[in-house]
This record gives sequence, structure tokens and C-alpha cells, in this order.
Amino acid sequence: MTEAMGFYTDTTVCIGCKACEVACKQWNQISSTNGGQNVLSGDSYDNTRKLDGEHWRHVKFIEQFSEDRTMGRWLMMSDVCKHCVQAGCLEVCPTGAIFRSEFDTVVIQQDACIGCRACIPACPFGVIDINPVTHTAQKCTLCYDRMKVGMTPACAQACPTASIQFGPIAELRTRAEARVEALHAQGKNDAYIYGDEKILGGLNSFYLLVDKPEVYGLPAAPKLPSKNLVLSSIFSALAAAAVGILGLLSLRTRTQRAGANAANAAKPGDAP
Amino acid sequence: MNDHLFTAPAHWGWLIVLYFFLGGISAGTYLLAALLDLFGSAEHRPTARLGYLASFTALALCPPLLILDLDQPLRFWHLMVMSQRPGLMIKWYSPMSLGSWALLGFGACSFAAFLAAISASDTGPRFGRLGAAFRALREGWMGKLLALSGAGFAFFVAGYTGILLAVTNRPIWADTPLLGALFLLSSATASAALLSLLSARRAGSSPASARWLHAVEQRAALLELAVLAALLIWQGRTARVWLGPWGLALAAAVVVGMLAPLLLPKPAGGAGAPEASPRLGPLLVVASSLLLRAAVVFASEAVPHA
Repeated sequence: MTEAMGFYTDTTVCIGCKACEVACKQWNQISSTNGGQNVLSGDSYDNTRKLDGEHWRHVKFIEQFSEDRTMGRWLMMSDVCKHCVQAGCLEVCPTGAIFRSEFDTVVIQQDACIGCRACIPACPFGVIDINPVTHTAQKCTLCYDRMKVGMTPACAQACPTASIQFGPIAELRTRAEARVEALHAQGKNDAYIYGDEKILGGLNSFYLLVDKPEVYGLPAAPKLPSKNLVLSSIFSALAAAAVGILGLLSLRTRTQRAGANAANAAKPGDAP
Repeated sequence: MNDHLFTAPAHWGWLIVLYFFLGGISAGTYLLAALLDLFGSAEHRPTARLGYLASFTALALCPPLLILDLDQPLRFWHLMVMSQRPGLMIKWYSPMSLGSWALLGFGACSFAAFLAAISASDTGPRFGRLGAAFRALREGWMGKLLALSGAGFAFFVAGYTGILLAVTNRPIWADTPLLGALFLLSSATASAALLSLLSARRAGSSPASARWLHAVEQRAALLELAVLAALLIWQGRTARVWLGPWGLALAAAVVVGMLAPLLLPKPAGGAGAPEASPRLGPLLVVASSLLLRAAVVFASEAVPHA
């Protein structure tokens, strides 16, 4: 494997221009719902709504206003697949269509995807969904095709404020830590990194946030779907054993009872 | 806030619910038949035969349901064969991958037992010389091996569908490790009810088998009720998601599928008095097994992406 590559998204400099969304759609030739017609969501400036098979980048608009609206702030964040080091989608995919690339990113091999949808509920971030045109599961590939020829992913190249930064993970983490320190020095003590090694072994697409993860629509402590595998299997095995024993015991009891009845009936004294 | 609320629904619908139900019925009826074949006396043989017939009939419907549910149905073979290099596609930690193989293994056992059962019929096809070979599949050590190996696969098929749901990040499904146990017990209850219903209509079924099926149904229903209660406690605050139409469906499944078997009267006994055997009760128990799975699947599917 070559060096691990990824995204560092500094949400404090995101201006919500959606250039990343457009660049992603254009480069990857992603289809548009409703024939590309714009249907307004009524939710701030967010008409993309969520990440799915047709939206591999999603700029979130979070409005935080006081009741009288004299105080307020906008939080903007360009969301994308996290390319988790321990990836839930990759874990459950039954066909091996989801693989880890030489750049330590997670990619769905389109011609092997059967559309079973196991990866959709497995992703702790709700990133993956079925593309209604290809009928396969789709998500950000971190522009695997561009990376293979040494190019920057389309979204990072299009971002005008360097909110989305692309590069080797180690370098990005150093850069992010320096930025957090700089923000703390400016008195913005709520800045922190979301996606360090404590979260699923590290997110190869990580964020600088200034509020709780839930505010950005991110889980505070995402886990792998396999967290339930062993315990679920044990409980199922216990239930199987219980059914087997119940069936056997009642069969045996009945056979013994029938045997005893037959023996009683055969006693000479009891004969009419 | 529950971390599972940030995930997307799988869009699993009625095809999957039907598969969960039919797979459970198939596995349950095979299990009961295998128990009777392995440990029962000769009088239980006709009921065991019915179990094998019911098992394969239900199982035959499963692969089409699963394949039709795929968004790329023609690529279903990728579940078994690697796409980029020669080799079998097995992932022991993916319930869907293991389930596909278990279904294949169980299918082979269920089909063999079905052939043995159908060729043993006085009125059905005899298959000429092959018929003797088919009938031998249920005799001697061969019969024991078939019953044992099939029962092993059946246990897996009855329970893995619940594990498959638990091995996700969705609310309700991933909030408890008890779904596999619940589905397995529900399969046993519903299969015992189904076999009661079928054997009551068949000549040759013994009253002893009918009473045994009733006992299994009652005890499995009691266990199922206990596991469901534990499951709801385990879910904690997430259990509030049940406050909706699918919660009502679950409640109906509890009343009809778990409480009713405990209160139903003992059957009058097999083919001797088929008219006296209650039919609605077992039918409702079987239907509630479908309702239980529908409630579990759709309650989670109804929770949107946060």
C-alpha cells in the first residue's frame, strides 16, 4: 500500500458555496434525481438534503439563532464518506465489492455490487445508498481514478477556501492540529478534531468542528456493525439449544409416560 | 442522542420480510421433523414426513424472493463466487455471506429429505428404482446423518436473519443482540403450529405427535415471550421507537403468536378427530410469525436518516 491519503475538512472556513458538490457530480458523472429539476427542501440553503447514491458530497447548513434572532451563527460543513480505517460497509459486504484501495480509502467496485443493500444500514454515518440509475450502492470514491494518476480529488480542487484539503493523512493531521491550536489561541476553545484514532481506528476523511458532533449530524461514538456479532450468535445458539432440549425432553417424557401406561395396562391383576 | 439515528434505512421491504418468515418456517419444520426422526418412535414418522414436505416447500420460495430483492438480480452469483479471481466468496464475519452458504447447505438437506418423504407416500410419485434410493435417505445411518446435518443448518437459517439485522447500525436492530434468538424461537413456535394444522388434516398422524407439537409450541411461545421482554428492556430508551403503528403490529404478534398458544386447548388428537382440532389458532400463530418479522423490519425502516 502506498501512503494513506484522505481529506481534512476545516468547517470554520466553509462558506457553503457547494462548489465541491458540483465538481463531484461533474467529474463522477453522477445522475440527478428528478431529472435534475430543483426541488426546494425548505431547510435553509440545503436542497441536497443528505448523502446518498446520487450525492457523494453534501454541504450542510446549520442555523444557530437565539429566539429573538439577535444572536446567531451559521455552521457549514461539506460532508462526505469518512473512508474509515475500520469500515462497517466493507465488513458486511457479502460479495467483496467494497474494497480497501492502495491509498487506504474505501471504494465500491461497481461491477461486483449486487445491490443487496447490506452496506447501507451498516454505515454508521448514513453515507451509502443505491443509485437509482446504476442500481448499485454508491458513495465517494475519494476520486480513486484521479488519485491513480496523481490528481487531487475534484471536490478538494474546486474548494475556493481550502476548507477541503487533500493529502497524506499524517500530513493532514499535523496541519489540523496546528489549526486547532491557532483557533484556541484566538479564544475559540470549542474547536476540535472529529475523526481521530478513537473513532473506528481513525477516519481518513476527518473534520475540524466547533460544536458537538450531533449538531453536524454526526454520531458521537460510531461503532462497527460487528459489535453485535458475537453476542447475537451466542444468544441464538442458546435459543437453539433451548428449542432442542425442550423438544427432546417433552418427547422423552411422553415416550416414558406412554411406556408406563402400556406396562400398567399389561399387569395381570389389572386385567378385567 | 442514539448514534444509530444517524444512519440510513436499508430499504428492505416485504420480499425480505417474506423470506425471513418462509426461511424460519422451513428451518423450524425441518428441525421438528429431524427431532421426531432422530428421537421419536415409529408413530411419529408420518408427522416427521409432513415436516420435511413443508420445509422444502417453504424453502423453494426463498431464493426467488432474495434474488428479486437485489437491485442487480442477475449478479446474485457474486455471493458465492469471487468476481476478480477464481475462488469461493466466503466472509465468516458477514451474516449475509454465511447465510447464503447456509441456505445452500440447508437447501441440499431439505431437498434430500423432501425426496425421501415424497417417495414414501402411498399416493404420491414412487420414482421407480430411484424411489428406493430416495426412501433410503431417511433410513439407518444415512437418515440420521441427513437429519443431524440438516438440523444444524436449520438452526443457523432460523436464527441468522435476526443476527443479520443486529449486525448493522440501525435503531431497533442494532440496539439488541437478541433478535437472532427471537426469530429462532418464533420459527419453532410457528412451525409447531403449522405442523399441528397440517397433521390434523392428514390421515396417519398420531395423537401423540399432535400432543408433542402442542407442547413444543407452548414452551417455545413462552420462551419467545421472555426473549421479547428482555429485548425491549435491552433496547432501553430506543424502545420508544415502538410507539407507532409497527409497535401495534408487534403487540398483535405477541397476543396472537405468543399468548394465544399458551391459552389454546390441547388438541383432541391427530387424524382420529380432525374436525375437533382447532384450526384458527394455529393459523393465527403462523401469521403472527410473519407479523413479528414485519414489525421488526419496518419499525426500523420507518426511522429516517437524522
